[in-house]
Amino acid sequence: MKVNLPGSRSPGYAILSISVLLVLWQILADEVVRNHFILPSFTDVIFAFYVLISAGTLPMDFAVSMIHFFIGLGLSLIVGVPAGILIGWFPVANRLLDPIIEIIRPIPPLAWIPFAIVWFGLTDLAAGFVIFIGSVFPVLVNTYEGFRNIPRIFVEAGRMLGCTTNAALIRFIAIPAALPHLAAGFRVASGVAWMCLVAAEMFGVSRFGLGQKIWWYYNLHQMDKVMVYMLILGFIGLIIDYIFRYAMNRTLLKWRQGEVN
Amino acid sequence: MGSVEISHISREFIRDDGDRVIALSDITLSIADDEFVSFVGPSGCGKTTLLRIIAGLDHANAGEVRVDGSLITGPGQKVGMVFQEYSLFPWRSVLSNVAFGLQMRGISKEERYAVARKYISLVGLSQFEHSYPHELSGGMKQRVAIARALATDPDILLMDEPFGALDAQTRNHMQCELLDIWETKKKTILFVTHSCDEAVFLSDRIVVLSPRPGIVRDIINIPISRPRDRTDKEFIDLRRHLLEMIEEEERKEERIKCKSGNL
Ligand SMILES: Nc1ncnc2c1ncn2[C@@H]1O[C@H](COP(=O)(O)OP(=O)(O)O)[C@@H](O)[C@H]1O
Ligand SMILES: [Mg+2]
Repeated sequence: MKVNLPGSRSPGYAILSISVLLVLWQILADEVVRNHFILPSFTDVIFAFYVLISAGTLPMDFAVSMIHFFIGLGLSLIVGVPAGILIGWFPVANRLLDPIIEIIRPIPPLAWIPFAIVWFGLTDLAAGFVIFIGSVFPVLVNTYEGFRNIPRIFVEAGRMLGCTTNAALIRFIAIPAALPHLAAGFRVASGVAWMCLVAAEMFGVSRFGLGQKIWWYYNLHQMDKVMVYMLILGFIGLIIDYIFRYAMNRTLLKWRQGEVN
Repeated sequence: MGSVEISHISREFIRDDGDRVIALSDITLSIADDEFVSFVGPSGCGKTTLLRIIAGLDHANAGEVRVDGSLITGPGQKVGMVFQEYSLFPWRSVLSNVAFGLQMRGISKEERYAVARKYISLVGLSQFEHSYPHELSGGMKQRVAIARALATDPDILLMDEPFGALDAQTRNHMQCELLDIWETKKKTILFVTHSCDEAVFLSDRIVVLSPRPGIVRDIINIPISRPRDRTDKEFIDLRRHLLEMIEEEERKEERIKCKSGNL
């Protein structure tokens, strides 16, 4: 028998599943684990959140993390997009640079932390650099893929209409045609950048930061506050992804509306 | 001006499996200014390849193409092309697609949009100038592609089965529109088609190509005055003659395929 389920967009299911999770969490923490260091309960976390808001460092933590995030992601775009274009458009550049990229790419971003400190000291730039290493490859690889998949017909139509230099073809044909790929790469990159944030703030580049505070409260053994920062990191990551998708679909990718992806 | 001199063009491709395909073999042809010439022949006889070489998008292994006496080495300002498959830029609106060629020539936005609007109205799509290609039907897309190719005012228009994907009614309508444009704008048109009816309806001359290797099998003059009537006896006779020739080519093609074990 077919049950008449409310539409998949209705918030009913989300509210239900989250409520059940919260209740189970509270029971588990209070009745089973009974140790607020190992597992703070939901109410502990709410209370810790309230304390943190009164303490007033949250806005500063948020701002500093955003600085790290945007330094890293910004560098990724500045480096990754042109490099992706270069290897995607010029076969010679691809043959020359591909081996180098393939050697550097598998090195985990966090393995760069010592060099980040040696090169940039304990600065915001060092944190940004680690985030950059994590997020540059998704940007680069997706830009490259986008350029590789440009239908030949668009390039030829462009050439017939007087768009003949490499610079003009890249600007007027290749970049717009590859934009869906670029957007996908940027989205993956922003996710990876956000994930690298906690590690990048771990080694004491700043006195504030959402990631920095996780380690700070961990050292103070205040796991309820650690949990608050974890949830904040999750929420902001979600919001960044949402804003990004919305902005891209409304502006640069407007022409794709109604197309089947 | 827009005369085309094709002399001794040959083109062969090496397929992925290492086989050589002779797409065109020693094609020589002279097309006068303002002439409407159609190319017909079974698929694979090199029609697209020939058009691409004239356009400067592909290079012949031997021979040369001259437009008004100057050698074709790459895409140039004098030649416009309407492709076999949909070639509109999906990220640009109809208006901005049609204005693209003028933009590449450095013409100001105001001026190029004014010219583009003129050509959009010529193909009857003024209401759709702000639409994106995915919002248009197949016939409308091809009309925009024609407007886009015309907007830079090329002397020679290459059209590769432009109406191939359209239904019969739209197709007949587009043929009349194209003839109107050809008569008012005074252009040389090289038109590839599968349809004998279309070729006889449109052309001054029809070049019949024969495959493997692609050679000119025959050139048929169509002396009927325009506007042409499809039910006219002369029209029907010419169409039948052309059809028989092409069917013969296709049968030959089948036999070759059977012999070489492809079927
Ligand atoms: N880029 C290519 N690589 C290999 N073979 C090709 C290529 N382009 C065309 N050919 C071959 O050349 C022949 C002519 O092709 P084409 O000009 O597209 O024919 P038509 O447009 O008349 O159908 C075909 O046998 C086709 O397989
Ligand atoms: Mg073809």
